[in-house]
Amino acid sequence: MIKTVKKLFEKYKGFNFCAGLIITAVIFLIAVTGIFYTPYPSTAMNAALKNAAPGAAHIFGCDNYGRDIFSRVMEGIKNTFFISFFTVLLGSVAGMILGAVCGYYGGKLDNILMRLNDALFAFPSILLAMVIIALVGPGAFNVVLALGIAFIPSFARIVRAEFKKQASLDYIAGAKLMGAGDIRIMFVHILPNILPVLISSVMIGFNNAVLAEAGLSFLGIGVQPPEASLGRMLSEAQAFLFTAPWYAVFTGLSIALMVLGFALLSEGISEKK
Amino acid sequence: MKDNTSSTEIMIKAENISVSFTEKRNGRKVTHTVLRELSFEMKQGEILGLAGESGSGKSTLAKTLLGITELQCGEFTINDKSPQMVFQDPFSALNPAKTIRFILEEPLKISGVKDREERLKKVKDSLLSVGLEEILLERKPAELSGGQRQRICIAAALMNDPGLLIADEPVSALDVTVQAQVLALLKKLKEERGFSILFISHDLRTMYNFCDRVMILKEGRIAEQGKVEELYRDPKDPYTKLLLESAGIRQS
Repeated sequence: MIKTVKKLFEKYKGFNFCAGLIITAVIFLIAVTGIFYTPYPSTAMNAALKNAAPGAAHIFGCDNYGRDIFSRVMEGIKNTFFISFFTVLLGSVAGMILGAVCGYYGGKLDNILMRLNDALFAFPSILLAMVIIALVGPGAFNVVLALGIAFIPSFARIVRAEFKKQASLDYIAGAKLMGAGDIRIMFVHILPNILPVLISSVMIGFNNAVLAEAGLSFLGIGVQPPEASLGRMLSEAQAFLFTAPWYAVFTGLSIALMVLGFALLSEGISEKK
Repeated sequence: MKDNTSSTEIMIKAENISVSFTEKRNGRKVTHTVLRELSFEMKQGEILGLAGESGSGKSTLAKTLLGITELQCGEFTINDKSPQMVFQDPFSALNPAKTIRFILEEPLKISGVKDREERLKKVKDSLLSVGLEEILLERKPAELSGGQRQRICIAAALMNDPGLLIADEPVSALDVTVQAQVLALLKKLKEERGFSILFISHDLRTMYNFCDRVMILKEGRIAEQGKVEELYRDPKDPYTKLLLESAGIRQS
């Protein structure tokens, strides 16, 4: 484990990579801790602490219901992080399979699937997700489903282009002559060659997912209250921008940090090539 | 491809094979015929040279024999279950993401050699047989020279002991001294293992030293074929004469 991390650092020693890794690691730790522990119960209200300023007991202050903002930010990061993670997982795995099949086989199947893909691509992904949520209803699972589907086209397109490029090279003809099966050629021979491209697009996809999830919650159709979500908190904080600015600032900062961490990380990884 | 048990002497027997490609140009279908009713035989253990200018159908013939390109009419039999190919460009013929060890082990894995130790031993042996050292095993193709890469390609192609090796301009991407080494290696391996080589090249000088028999292709037809010495000494076809003259082998 330590050896692999060391190897990674040697491979990508750059400011962007290191800064991105540190920020992402902190966010990840907060997200994981958020599952088991928050300083205060995130839904516990206290009328006496309504819009209380940051202090020793409540380092990020309290919101309009007197709930501890730090605890809610922790839970919001947890929700956003895991929703984004599973969104990207769904989008990239489905997109990868679709793109691999289209790019490798080509022909009519490729034409049909790619036109469908174009049709999906024509909608902004957040709008497409809203339509799907309108059909299946809100909730964390449905947000993952909706955003995941909305994210498939962009991954499929990237993977297809890379597969097409690789499939025409001689080493693939050679592998076929040796008798390698299509699945083996696709996932053992070609996939490792497109991994760098795939990793940076997954990173960028994760950022888009964070923003999309926050956007959906901001509009009130993502994670439902009283569950905390960064987007919803930001939307609530608007009303108290002048009376309790810490609410908006800390919530907004945590979204920004999450996105920044992954952006730096993907930048760092693509620098290496 | 079916086994030809009646005459084990013959490696390839092709009769009237024709290949054409259709493409759409300005909405109209245009057909290019690349191979026209080609018939030839190749004996087992022979090195058959295939020469001709660019576009004469040399590579298409190779691809057709290997089943990569579909043929329109005619038929051919190859007396080998899995003929292999050495490509022109050793840079795109090796998987850039994999180590030499994976590249050489892969044909064994595919053909069902389960034992890890046995595979590794065979890989090491094959590396030695193409004149390379074990130290290269964990390297990737990008860390090797052109000549080394082509040796790896040859080793990978010969991993499962094919009866027929098709070499499509195997040395034209290499510099002259390396060319001679790779050809000498091919010839040595051929003597040791007795496979046949279909050697595609546009370089008639190389062919003279390397091949037993030569076939000259022109516009998808066989212009002339015969034993190297005879054909080079006394070419019958005007196109062959022209080729030999332009290569500086024969004076007009």
